[in-house]
Amino acid sequence: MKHFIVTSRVTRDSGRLRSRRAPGSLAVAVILLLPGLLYAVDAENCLMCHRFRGLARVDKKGDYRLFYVDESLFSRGPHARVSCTGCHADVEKIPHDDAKPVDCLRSCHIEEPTREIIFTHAKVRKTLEDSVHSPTAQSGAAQGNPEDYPRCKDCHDIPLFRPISIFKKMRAGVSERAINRCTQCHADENFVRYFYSHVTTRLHKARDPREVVTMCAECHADPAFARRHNLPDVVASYLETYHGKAVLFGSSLAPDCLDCHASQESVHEMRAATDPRSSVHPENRPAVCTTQDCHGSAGPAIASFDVHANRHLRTHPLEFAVGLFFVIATLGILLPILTLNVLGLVRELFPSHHAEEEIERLTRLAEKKAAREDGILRFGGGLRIQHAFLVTVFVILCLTGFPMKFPEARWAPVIYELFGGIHGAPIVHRVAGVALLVGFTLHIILILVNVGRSLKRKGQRGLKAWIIAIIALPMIPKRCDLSDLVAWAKYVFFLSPRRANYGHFSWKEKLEYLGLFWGIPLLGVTGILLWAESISSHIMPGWALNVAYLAHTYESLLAVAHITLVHIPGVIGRPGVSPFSSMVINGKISPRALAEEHGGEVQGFVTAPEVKS
Amino acid sequence: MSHKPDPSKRLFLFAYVGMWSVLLIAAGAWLTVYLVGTLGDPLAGKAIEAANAKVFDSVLALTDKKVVRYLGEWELVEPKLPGHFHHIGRWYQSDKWNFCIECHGPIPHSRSLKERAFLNMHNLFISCQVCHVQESEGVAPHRFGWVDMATGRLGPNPEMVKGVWGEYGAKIIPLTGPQESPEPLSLKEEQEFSTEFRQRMNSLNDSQKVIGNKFIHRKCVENPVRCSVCHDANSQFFPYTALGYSQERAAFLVSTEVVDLIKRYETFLMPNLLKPQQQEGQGTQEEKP
Repeated sequence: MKHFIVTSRVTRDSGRLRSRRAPGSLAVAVILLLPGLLYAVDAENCLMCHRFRGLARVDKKGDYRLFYVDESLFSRGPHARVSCTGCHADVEKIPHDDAKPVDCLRSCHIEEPTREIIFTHAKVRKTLEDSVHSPTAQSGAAQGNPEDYPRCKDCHDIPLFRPISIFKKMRAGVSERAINRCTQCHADENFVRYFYSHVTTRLHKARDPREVVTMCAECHADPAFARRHNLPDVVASYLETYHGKAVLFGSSLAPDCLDCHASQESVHEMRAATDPRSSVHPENRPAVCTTQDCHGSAGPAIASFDVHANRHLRTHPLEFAVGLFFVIATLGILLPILTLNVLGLVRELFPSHHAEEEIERLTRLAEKKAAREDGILRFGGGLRIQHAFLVTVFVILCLTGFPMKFPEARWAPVIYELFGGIHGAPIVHRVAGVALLVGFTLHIILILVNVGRSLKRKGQRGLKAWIIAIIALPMIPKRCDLSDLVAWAKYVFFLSPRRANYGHFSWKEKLEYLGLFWGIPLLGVTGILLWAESISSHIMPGWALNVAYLAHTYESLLAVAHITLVHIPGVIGRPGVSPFSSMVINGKISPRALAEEHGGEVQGFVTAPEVKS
Repeated sequence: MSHKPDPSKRLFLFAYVGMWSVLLIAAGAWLTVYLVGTLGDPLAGKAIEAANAKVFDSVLALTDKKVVRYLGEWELVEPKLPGHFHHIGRWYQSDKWNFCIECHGPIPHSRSLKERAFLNMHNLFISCQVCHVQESEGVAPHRFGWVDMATGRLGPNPEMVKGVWGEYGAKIIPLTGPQESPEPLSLKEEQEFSTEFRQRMNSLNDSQKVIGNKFIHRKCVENPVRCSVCHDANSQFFPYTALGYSQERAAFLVSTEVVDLIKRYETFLMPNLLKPQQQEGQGTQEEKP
């Protein structure tokens, strides 16, 4: 969470004001000028001293005490109309006596305009005393570690207005159109602006979800606090959901802690999940999740989606099992191949005499064929188009998916903004995902059509013939691939002087190809389930979405890791091939590369009469 | 892969293979650690991290934290002060030039319990030398100028923008040297000594530390300039208007309002200055929650 605070598009020491829409100085200047138009009360002239930023001291305990009040910021919130002594009531003379902590619940404020009585936050007291944040239990007994329970200032600093303008569409800021209309009757423009800002701030979330999550995380992401109160790490688990990630990317539409845990009546009305009155009690969750503004069309089963799931064996065995499966699968596949690849690179430095001679011989054979046929075509136009399509879609999926996997990384929002941020990138991701599924389906259809034609030519029919024909396809692994793998392992471990001479497709290529038949359907299905979460909730329990999320996120990492660590280094990272293989463009392979990677195929040239002659 | 490769090509091959190998091994290691870390109790790792945090870091790192307020059209990024209710916007400007700050920091006053915050506030725009240093004992400074807080160079009177209080990027400092080419009272000899003193602190014995400390402060006066010396309509200590203050502001700074305020503080403080025991008692009372 600490990292989150720093990386949420906040530049360190970047200054106090940053305009989101117009970063230029003009916009900032306009914002700076606005406070002057708003209300501020200082009848006692406290600011004569307290407007100096250096009015501070460090007390005996080492606590830094700052007595500065920023006029411009103070005037930009609902407290602007409250005089200093409205809160600091015991400050009556100069020099000030030691002031008591401000009691936020006292009746000290301005006149509440609708009833013309003195305003107070006192009603919050009763709500808080009946909430999970009260240091006194319902039974009247004191809770353990009472100092951990929040006081007003632990969650609140002076609120600032977040006005919105609603005309043809909603946007942040004050509507000058509305102000002009108001001032037709209400002469005091300062009051109009204050009133407008106050009311419109209350028409939406008064605090940005990022602020709310950061606030709750102060305690709930603290491991020592969690241990003392026997609580799980609810912040980390929340931030791993789409809710949390969308908040990290700045979506004000995504739900923060208060949206689920606080009642409709008051944000201070929060109760333990075991309390039947709690909004997150299992009996009440379906109603909360299916609120019209959230998952309005979802079934009640969506409530069994665990927003705070982790992968701890004791508390979440299912999630742990799914995670463990993918961790083993990922590392079990990648690490051995990675080891062989690294050792293969090292072996390139110390090739055996036999291997060198063999490659020289095969290269000469391949060169003859290349000279006769104007190059050796390895991939035809159709395959190259399919490859280009796959590369394009894969890159788009990575760019729009990986920021979502690592939303706290500094690079994540930068990449996401290229695709329209949190409101655009997920759409691009889904479109690319659908395109991949369509392309994959077409590829399978193409294969089946070719197999069908082949069977028809041979006059074969029936399921058995189809199965045999499919197994015989060149990309399906055969027994010889296992012996090739063993031969390659022996060579790179310096146990044999003989390189493996692969045929047209090596075991690595076949493994990658088959990986697509596992990865694409898995990512596609789980992606669609997560995308259409409301529909999914009508056909499966909500916890299935937890599993779908895990499968999607782990499998995507496996796919990317394989491509970046195995495929790319294995294809274009080999000495003599990099930095870029022209094969993906013209489909032609160099005789040398063919001799090195597909020696078995080159040996097949010998049987051809032209080569013999 | 030729039988007798060119040595330079072989060197390149070694570098190339080495680079890929390191990259792949590092990526594989990261992936393993990351994936294994996704399983288990998420709090366990954090607890270890928190336990490893040093007391020094945990105390001092607080002042480096930032908090962001997302307000729709604009964002407020400000230092995070735990338990502070008012927004502060940003830290005060820091003095990069005056070497006193290196030891005493930007909030140096702490002895006078009631007065210290006021004195620290003046540290925004008045150099330590104004109140605490005399070139010759008993001779109060009488010429002043503005010194740039970043460079230490004398400059013209700063522009005092409306709404900016005390933060001008420069501080008032006593002037020394000829009238036609004055220099800021900069304590060069003491500064050089102080730099070496702090570097060699660990190798000095107790007596040497005391002597060194005295030398650094040899031009500091026992009784610094008091508030009423400047904020007095009859005093000519500070030539406010010559220093760039408007007539209105200059008049206010020595007005009844300000002078009365200062009298209240000084009247209150005087007995305590004479009775240290009472002051200690007052301090104890103040620290009570």
